[in-house]
Amino acid sequence: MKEKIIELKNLKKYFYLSRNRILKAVDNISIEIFKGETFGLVGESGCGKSTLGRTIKGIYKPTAGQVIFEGKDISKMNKKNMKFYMRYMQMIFQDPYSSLNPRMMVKELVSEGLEIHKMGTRETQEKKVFETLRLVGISPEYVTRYAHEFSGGQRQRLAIARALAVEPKFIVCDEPISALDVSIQGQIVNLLKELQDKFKLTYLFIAHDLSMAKYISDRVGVMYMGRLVEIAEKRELFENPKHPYTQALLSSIPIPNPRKERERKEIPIEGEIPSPLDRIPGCSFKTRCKYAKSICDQMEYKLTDIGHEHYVMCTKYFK
Amino acid sequence: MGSEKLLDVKNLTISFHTFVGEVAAVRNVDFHLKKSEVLAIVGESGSGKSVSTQAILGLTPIPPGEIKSGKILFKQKDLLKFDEKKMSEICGSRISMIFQDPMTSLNPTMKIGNQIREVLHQHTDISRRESRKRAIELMTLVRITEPEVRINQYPHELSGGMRQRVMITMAMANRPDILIADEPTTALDVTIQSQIFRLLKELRSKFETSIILITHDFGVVAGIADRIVILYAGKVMEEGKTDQIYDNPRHPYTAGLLKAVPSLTDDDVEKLRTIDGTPPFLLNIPKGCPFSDRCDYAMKICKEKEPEYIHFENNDRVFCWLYHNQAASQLKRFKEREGIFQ
Repeated sequence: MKEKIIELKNLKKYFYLSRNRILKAVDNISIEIFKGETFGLVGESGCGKSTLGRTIKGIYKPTAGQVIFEGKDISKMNKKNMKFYMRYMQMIFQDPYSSLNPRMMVKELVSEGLEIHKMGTRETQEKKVFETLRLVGISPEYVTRYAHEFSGGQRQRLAIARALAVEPKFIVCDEPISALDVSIQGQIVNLLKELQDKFKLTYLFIAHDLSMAKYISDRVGVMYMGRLVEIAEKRELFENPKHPYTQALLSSIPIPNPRKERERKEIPIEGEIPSPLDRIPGCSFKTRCKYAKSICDQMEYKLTDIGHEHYVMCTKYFK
Repeated sequence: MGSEKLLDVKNLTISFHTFVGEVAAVRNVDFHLKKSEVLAIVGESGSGKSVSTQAILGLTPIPPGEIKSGKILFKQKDLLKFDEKKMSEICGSRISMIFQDPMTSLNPTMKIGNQIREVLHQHTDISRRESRKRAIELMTLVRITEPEVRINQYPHELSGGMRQRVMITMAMANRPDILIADEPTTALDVTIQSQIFRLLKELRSKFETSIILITHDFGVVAGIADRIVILYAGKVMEEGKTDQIYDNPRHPYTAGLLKAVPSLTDDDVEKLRTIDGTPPFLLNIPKGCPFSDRCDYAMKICKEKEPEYIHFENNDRVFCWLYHNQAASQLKRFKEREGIFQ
């Protein structure tokens, strides 16, 4: 039986820029994430995937809706209560060059979380730091070094060590590999997978690289302009995409094989993403969608179950 | 495709003098480009791919940079010997470049139209009225919507994809012989990326422009390149026709790199192959092959002496000891493990 670890209920995060300009970064999203799985979240830049990750982690306070972690709604909690749960939710950021404090030594970086959550004595903390560093593949002899002395891949390992030190259950990985070189990306992804097996971690893996998302995730959600337009098990989603946006997105990925690449049939998607400030009634993709009909203007926000645990938000599949 | 070399970079060595010492960014690199050919230069950050192409346009900052040796022959003339005035006749006219980040390479205080027209006025005697007309024509060509409106807009009013189209308009304004595209889509989303590449392919077939594409992404290379040069730590590791590189990579680095990218078409791979370790520090380059520390097939000689280039048909070449006749058994092991049957 699959056990829910995180549940989002109609989560919204709006940014009020001025009286009439509202940026709906996350608009009515409901997802369930189960223990031990990796949930991939893909979408183009500006679609709100990072905002969603940050809202779950509690960096942003949601405008409306609930974030339920192990049965408790943490979005309405005060800071003190929230802190207790935040230990179990950690985050890894995209750019390991700006996410690590340049004035802190490795041991301070890794033990910071332990101190904040008052875990153990100084001695056990030190032990934990060594143990965690070894886990992420950094030699403990580097504890007195600073972040700038490491390469990009190693810095990302440090960021992972920071998250891991407090023994979390759930980690939001916000594009953890996109700032790294190709040959290093694989190392980090494999490390994340290893750690997941070892500690039964649950990941929310935010990515714009769809092939990496396919490789690491169990289920994938596709976001477009603040809304989740499709969710399915990864193989189902990549082989049988239903939403016109997902279809176009998948078909535009180049294949690293010249023969297959020449045969790749692209469903071109014309135009660009409208400004997130525009208020588009109904389906937000209809301005670029070739199947757009008049009923798309009245589309409700709801994901339709089309079987095989595949959900899609498109008028084509409404019953 | 003519067999004449339009651009021939020979034995190029560029170093940067820093406080910590001399960084050998590019070492004895050679490559060439034929008419209407697309050459992809693939490498990771710090491999010297940008440095070697910036030198073609004389963009190497000197100092701290120093071009230690080499020739860059464009139509048989050495560009490195050109003075600033002669170089400016070539830049933006015969050879032009588009960069990774279209926001920082456009002037934020100038209207799009004026930036495009500036390029036209620089290299041709064209009236102001004509240049405006020409700019609109060019913008239509790269499918910028509503060019009459856009011409009076500033870069910040355009999206990333549109800005890159403006860059392409400027680069193509004088029908250059060579277009150098330095990671043109890295900052863009996949759907926009594919639009830009479709446009580049179209321009290539329309104007027979030769393109040098600098990238780290093997996916985009597969669709557009005719030939690929693989750079690592300032050295050309392998050069070959696109199909050759993908089907039968000759260098262990190429083979590793190809397997390090998951593909959407592959079925579930349990574990991604990785190349362990990190690229060498260019301040003190190891004696032998720069890849030997990370190579699964490294032999004793690899760490001691640099290999020589082994040449194959079609100008293909590889920089690896495995192809020495004394290393036949190791080469066989490499081919078997990587599943290469040629």
